[in-house]
Amino acid sequence: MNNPDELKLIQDFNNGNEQAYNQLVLRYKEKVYWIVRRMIHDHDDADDITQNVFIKAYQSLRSFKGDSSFYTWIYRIAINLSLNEIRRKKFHKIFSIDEEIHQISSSDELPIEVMVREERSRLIAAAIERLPDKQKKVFLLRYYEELPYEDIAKILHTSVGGLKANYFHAVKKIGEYLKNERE
Amino acid sequence: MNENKVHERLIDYIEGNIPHEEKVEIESLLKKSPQMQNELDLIQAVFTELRHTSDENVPTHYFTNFLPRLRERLESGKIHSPFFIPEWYRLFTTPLVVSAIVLLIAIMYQSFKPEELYSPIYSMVNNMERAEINSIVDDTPDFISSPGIIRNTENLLGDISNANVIESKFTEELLVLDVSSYQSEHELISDMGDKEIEQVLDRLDKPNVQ
Repeated sequence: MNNPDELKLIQDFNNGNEQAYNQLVLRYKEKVYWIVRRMIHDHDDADDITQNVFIKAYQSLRSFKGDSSFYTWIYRIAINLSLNEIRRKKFHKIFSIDEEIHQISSSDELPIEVMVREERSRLIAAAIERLPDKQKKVFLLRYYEELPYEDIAKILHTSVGGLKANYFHAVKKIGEYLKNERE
Repeated sequence: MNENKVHERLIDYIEGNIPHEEKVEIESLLKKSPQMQNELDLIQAVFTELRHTSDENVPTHYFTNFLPRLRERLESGKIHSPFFIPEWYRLFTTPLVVSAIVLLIAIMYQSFKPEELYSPIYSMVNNMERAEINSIVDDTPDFISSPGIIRNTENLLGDISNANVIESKFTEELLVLDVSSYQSEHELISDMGDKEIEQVLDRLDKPNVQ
């Protein structure tokens, strides 16, 4: 359901009140940033996409009908823009391995505990990255954003039952990937 | 319980969102199925692993500076709100609207303009075989019916050398026809459009017609 306070902010913005838009940004900037960051990993790219999410919202709020809640709407934008970036990066990765080499060499200098933690994070990030798009979205929204299944179902236009099965398979695939990488 | 249903319930079981009776049922299934127990262990291991991963770093003050940076980008002039009307556009709104209406009318006129009707003289000549035209021209070497017509015809047909002959011939043929709506041959010839005249002349302006 839509938050009446948010609906009011959207109406105010549509009536020309820029402060209402600022309020929405303040309310969602961290949530949007983190959903993007967990998909993209790189801070600068995540920052750029997060800004683009709010710019897109700025330009399209007029078309927001209030059929879904604002956060459902903005999460959908965030996920779609992030997936576009992932696809773009995958394409570029085919032609360049410089970034990966740089990451490995720069981590050589870190203390052992940090290295272990970094390696674990890297493996999990890699495992998440390998998930099919649908499972990836479900996993990020459920595990990191802790959204109720009903809300995820609205964001992804799917059934709660299907989501749970997707979540199960996503977690299982992450586990299998980690197991295989460590063997 | 089918496989998908088991997976759904297993997730609910791990998250602790399951009624007691179902919890008992799942635990009974786990005891009977080593495969299901392995899946559960794997999933619980992932969640443990996830809890031990460090959250990625964010530069200090990143979130504090986010809105000012976003506003700066929005106000840099490249991105406008849906309600923004540029100053130059306001100045030119009326001329632009008028031009658009005129353009629209012109397009509509072109689209709905009725097909140009061919005048009888064009149809007549156009339906004739070249041999017929040749024979008419040959049979009527001197053909000028009135100075007025010739002068007018010359104006219409330009510099083409045999304009007089052709036009006179048309005039003669038309005299034979019952073209009652025309007061004179002159009037009838004048009714021909430039395009019609050009088409007729294209056809007649051949060496063997001369």
